[in-house]
Amino acid sequence: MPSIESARTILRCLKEAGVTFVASLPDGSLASLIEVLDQSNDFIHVPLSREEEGVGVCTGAYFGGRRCALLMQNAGLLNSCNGIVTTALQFEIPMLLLVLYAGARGDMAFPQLGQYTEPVLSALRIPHYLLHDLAKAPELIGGALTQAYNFKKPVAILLDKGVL
Amino acid sequence: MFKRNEGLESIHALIGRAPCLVTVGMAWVDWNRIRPGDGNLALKTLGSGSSIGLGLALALPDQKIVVLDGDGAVLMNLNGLVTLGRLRPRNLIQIVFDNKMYECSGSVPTATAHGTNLVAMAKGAGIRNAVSVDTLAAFTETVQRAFAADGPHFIVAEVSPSTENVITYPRWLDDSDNRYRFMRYVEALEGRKLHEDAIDVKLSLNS
Repeated sequence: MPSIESARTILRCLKEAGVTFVASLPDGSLASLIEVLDQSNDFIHVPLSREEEGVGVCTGAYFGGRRCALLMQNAGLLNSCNGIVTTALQFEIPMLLLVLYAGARGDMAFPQLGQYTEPVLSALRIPHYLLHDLAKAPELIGGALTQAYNFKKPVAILLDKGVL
Repeated sequence: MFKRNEGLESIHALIGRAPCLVTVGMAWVDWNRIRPGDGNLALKTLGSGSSIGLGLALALPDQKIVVLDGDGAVLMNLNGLVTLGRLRPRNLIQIVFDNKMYECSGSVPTATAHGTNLVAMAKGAGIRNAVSVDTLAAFTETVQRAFAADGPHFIVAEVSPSTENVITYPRWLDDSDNRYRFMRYVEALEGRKLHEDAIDVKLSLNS
């Protein structure tokens, strides 16, 4: 069961980075994060029904001056590839992609996802960083957001199940 | 049935200065001829109008946000309707010109030519103000009512295909330029800064 404490830490990092808008689709490991998100008044939360929508939703919110994050599992990242390329990369939209890394080292679920996630991000030329130590979350989330604005594109943080 | 460009002409004054998210294809060509300028964003991902519109409408609750869409685009992102029905932004007006074909992709029929009912799908997704109109007079009146009342509004206009030569892409448009012009246009409407450089983000992280 994912920990509420970890979820609160990650949300606090997002808040301190000035993120005020989060679109999401659940994974079992993201349940606590979404629960805490729903209880918070610091964010506009848009629950999605397919992740690719989230690229558009975050793009619209960005046009409205919001710093945005899209929270999803890596299967959702694969679902989102066209939106990432033809909206986020095409229009140079900064956003954080917070991606639960199913099939990562030590995770028996979704071995194919585990193998294709990082090569796909690399092919999309999206910088990506692995968060496997909660103590590094503030630096990683803040740094990735600055990089997203500097590069004018999405930047991904892969969330190891261990940090949740 | 009526023509899309006649429909757009008839609602030009109603839309006024509202930001418009316009689907790829002839809807963009028609609308950009009627209201050229920086307030139009030419979408690139088919079906992204409802999603980008939702994000913009939530971020700017005091602005009316208009999505000018097509049947093929809406069918590509039915999830967008589901999320609109769930979040129900009151300031979003989505207008779908249904010509029952992928006009810019060889005029191949869409599912609406074979009985798919977009209004029923929108209502099923939870968008209560979903209507279909097939005359110019009804269209103008419906859009007028949509601007006067809280939304979201989902208006399907039954239109005939374009009669002029269909072009697939307005080649004079640079997407990066379009995005900055659009954002500055929205900033002027809002009267506040919306665009941030990386340095602004970094400074606020340090503060």
